[in-house]
Amino acid sequence: MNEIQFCLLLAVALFSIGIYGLLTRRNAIGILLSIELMANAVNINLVAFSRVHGGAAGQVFALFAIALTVAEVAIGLGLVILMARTRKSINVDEARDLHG
Amino acid sequence: MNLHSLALAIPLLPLAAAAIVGLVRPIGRRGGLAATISIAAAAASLGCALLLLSHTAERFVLKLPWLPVGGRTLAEVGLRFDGISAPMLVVVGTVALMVQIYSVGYLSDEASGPRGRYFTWQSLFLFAMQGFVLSPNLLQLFSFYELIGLCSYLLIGYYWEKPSAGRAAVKAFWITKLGDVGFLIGLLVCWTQYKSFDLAAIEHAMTAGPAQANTWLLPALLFCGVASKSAQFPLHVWLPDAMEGPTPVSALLHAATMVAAGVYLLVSTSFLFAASPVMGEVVMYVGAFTAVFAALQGCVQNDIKRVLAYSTCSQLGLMVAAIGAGSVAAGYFHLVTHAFFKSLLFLAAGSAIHAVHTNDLREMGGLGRGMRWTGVFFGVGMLALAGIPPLSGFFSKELILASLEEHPVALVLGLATTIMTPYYMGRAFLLAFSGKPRSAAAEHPHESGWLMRGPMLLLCSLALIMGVFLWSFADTIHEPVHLEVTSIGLLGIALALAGLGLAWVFHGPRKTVIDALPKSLLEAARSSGVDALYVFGWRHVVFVFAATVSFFDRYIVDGLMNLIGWAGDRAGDALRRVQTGRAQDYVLALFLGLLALVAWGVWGG
Repeated sequence: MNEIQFCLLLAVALFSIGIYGLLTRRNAIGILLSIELMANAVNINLVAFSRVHGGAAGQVFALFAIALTVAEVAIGLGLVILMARTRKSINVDEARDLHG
Repeated sequence: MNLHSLALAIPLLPLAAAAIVGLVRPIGRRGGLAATISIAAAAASLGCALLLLSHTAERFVLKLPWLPVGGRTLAEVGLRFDGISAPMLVVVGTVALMVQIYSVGYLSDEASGPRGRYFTWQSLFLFAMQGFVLSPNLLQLFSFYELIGLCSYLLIGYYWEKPSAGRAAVKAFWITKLGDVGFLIGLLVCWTQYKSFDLAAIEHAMTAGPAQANTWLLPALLFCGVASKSAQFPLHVWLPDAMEGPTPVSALLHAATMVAAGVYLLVSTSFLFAASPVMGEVVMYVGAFTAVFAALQGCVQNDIKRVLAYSTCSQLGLMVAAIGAGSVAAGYFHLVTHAFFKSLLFLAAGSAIHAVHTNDLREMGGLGRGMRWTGVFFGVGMLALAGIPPLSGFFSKELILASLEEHPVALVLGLATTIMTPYYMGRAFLLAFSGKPRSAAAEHPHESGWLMRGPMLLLCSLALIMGVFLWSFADTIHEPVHLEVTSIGLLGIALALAGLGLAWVFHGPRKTVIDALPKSLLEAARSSGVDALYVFGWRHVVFVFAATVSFFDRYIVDGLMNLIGWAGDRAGDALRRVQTGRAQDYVLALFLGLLALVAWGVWGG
């Protein structure tokens, strides 16, 4: 198993864990954490391929992605705080006002 | 002033009067001012008609294109002046003017507002009738025919606060519309057969063009319109009820306008009937039967106006029968003489009603002492209607009997009418004006003022002398007339005298008999069987059909629509459970969808 395969497996593992967490967690904070895992799995891929192919483009993308993820987390946490204030709970199962 | 503008002025002056009185509120509210304007317009219109009468050698048609479609005109609007329209213009103008002047006296007790309305409709009516008489084509004839129907509806319903008057107005409107449907279909048939509405063009096409297959169809449909307006059996039922209007309105309606319109239509389209012998016979028998049927009804009425109404119906039957038999001159001349003496009779009856405030012959009696003028007027009208020589009615009645000479059945019906007419008129005259007063109101009747006597005097003199004009009338309309001493003519005079004698025997001044017939027979005669027939047809045919259609519409057509709506609603309800509202379910669906896409990309495509 060479270096790139190891990196890709790690990324797949992280992404799968993230998906699992996203679908199963009931806590809004946990969901945000799972999304972070998925985003970072993608970042690992970017860096890994950047190393294989040479050039800095992949690493630059990864840096951009991290910055964007920070912004996303900031918005996500803001939403969670708002939810906690209005509903006194951050259990996402309770937030289903749009059901049919 | 040239002839064209004279002819234009005849209908347009009353229209202007109607517009001024009807639209300018301050004038309409002042009854007297409204009457003055309306009467002035009617008088000026009559003046124009009289001036034109001396130029009947001239014929002209003024036309404007109307309804241009694809480079050709569907119809024209215009005036047709010739020997046929000239006498009618004068008759209509004279009677309308007399009726309007008389109305000023008759309606003097009314409030001003309603009087303004009354004179608006009167002027509009005059416009409609003169426009009708001057129409050169069937489409314009139809338009004015409808306007005449509308005006009579408005005038019959003048006392609209009375439910019976409202009902009578609506009845007159609907029954005449029933016949006009035939007229309307006739217009379509006319277009398909002759490609024109113009009367002259149709006549030309009939004589010069190729022979048409169904020559009976167009006259048959037109006759539907004639029968409803001119109250021919079985469409006559509106006419007795139309007595709910003010008496001057009845005089106008029954003499010169509404019912005359039907006969005039028959006169102006007589070439169509002449081309179809079958329709001619149908028209003749319908007319003759109506004459006898209505005369029989007239014999048993106790309402003086209803006697006159059935009499009108009966006389119209005679006119229609004569035209059906091919003698346009006889029918038309009877229309003219009848217009004068019947409006005289109605106005005289109105004068009596005005004095005793009742229509009921049983509450009159002895009016001749207090109302000598009215009595004389009614008497002259009665003799003219009875056909006693040398009054005007004699000439036209003799012509009609002569025209029926070759048709034994129609002739017998005509002669039966000839004996019944003097009887019921004599009965009405004797019950109202001779004998002893039978109610308090009849004790001291007051003669009407000169506003009412003047018009009656003029109509009375016309009823006396109109017969003299028979030959100049025949010249004007270019139809030959032959008035000779025949056995039938003498029989007609004898029957008329016999009818008057019968009235004297049964209802003379020394008798107090109201009805000469047994009670049960009277009940049967007065019960309106034809009305019942209409009610039956309405309830059991039209309603049943309407209910069926309504059921189909409500439960089949609407049901289909409702089914589609219901199915959509149910499907939406079932599918809405998919939308859980939980964000994670949507993410799962998204993820599975992505996996499916990837799988399809790797193994599928």
